[in-house]
Amino acid sequence: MSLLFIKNGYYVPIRIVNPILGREYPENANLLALVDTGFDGFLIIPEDIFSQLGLDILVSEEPFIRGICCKLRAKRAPIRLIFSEFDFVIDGDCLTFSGSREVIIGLDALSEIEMRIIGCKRSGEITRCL
Amino acid sequence: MVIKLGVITIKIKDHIEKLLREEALRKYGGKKGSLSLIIEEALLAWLKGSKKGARFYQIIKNDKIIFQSDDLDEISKFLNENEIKPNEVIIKIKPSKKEYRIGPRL
Repeated sequence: MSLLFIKNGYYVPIRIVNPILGREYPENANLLALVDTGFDGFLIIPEDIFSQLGLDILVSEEPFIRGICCKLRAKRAPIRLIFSEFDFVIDGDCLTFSGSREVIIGLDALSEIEMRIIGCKRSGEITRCL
Repeated sequence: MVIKLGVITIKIKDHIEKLLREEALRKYGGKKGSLSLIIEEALLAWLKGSKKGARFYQIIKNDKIIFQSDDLDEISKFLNENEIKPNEVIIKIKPSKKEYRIGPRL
């Protein structure tokens, strides 16, 4: 499965599922998640996707996210990540916070897959970790 | 509704058992189940550091853990089979985390 280099980052196609309510985003398609090794969590999604997946009723924690400018209060809920191109599923958790605009996949999720970035070719790939 | 607890028999060196019992006494005051708690914590810490994930989910109702699993399908199945609506319980993600980092470290 290829990583996509777009503008200034590497992106991976994923689907996000809430198995508890049987909701999926996007339905029958993939979205691109930015690979960010500077984020030490699993997944960040925008608030509107969080709501569409019905995750507001599954929030059990409100941890902080500390960035370069500030420390924000986030909401955390269980989630399933699907890498449909190589039929791989990981159960994890996702965060959202006010102003979150991008889907970001972090170190926690990356620790369960094998990823290779070929910087000089602006390409890369993701496979199962064997 | 009760939590499923696995029972395993392991062999460890005498001096490690001594350390384990001392730590259980220090941390939990020797209460029942303290050795199991210490071993669970140690295993989770080890799994967290290894390539396999240590994440799991707990369903909590009336302050009691009624089910736990590392598979969200099993969590969903348990809720459906017991006719529990998701808003009637708390689904905790373990290990919990108070703060995440994003962006450059200063």
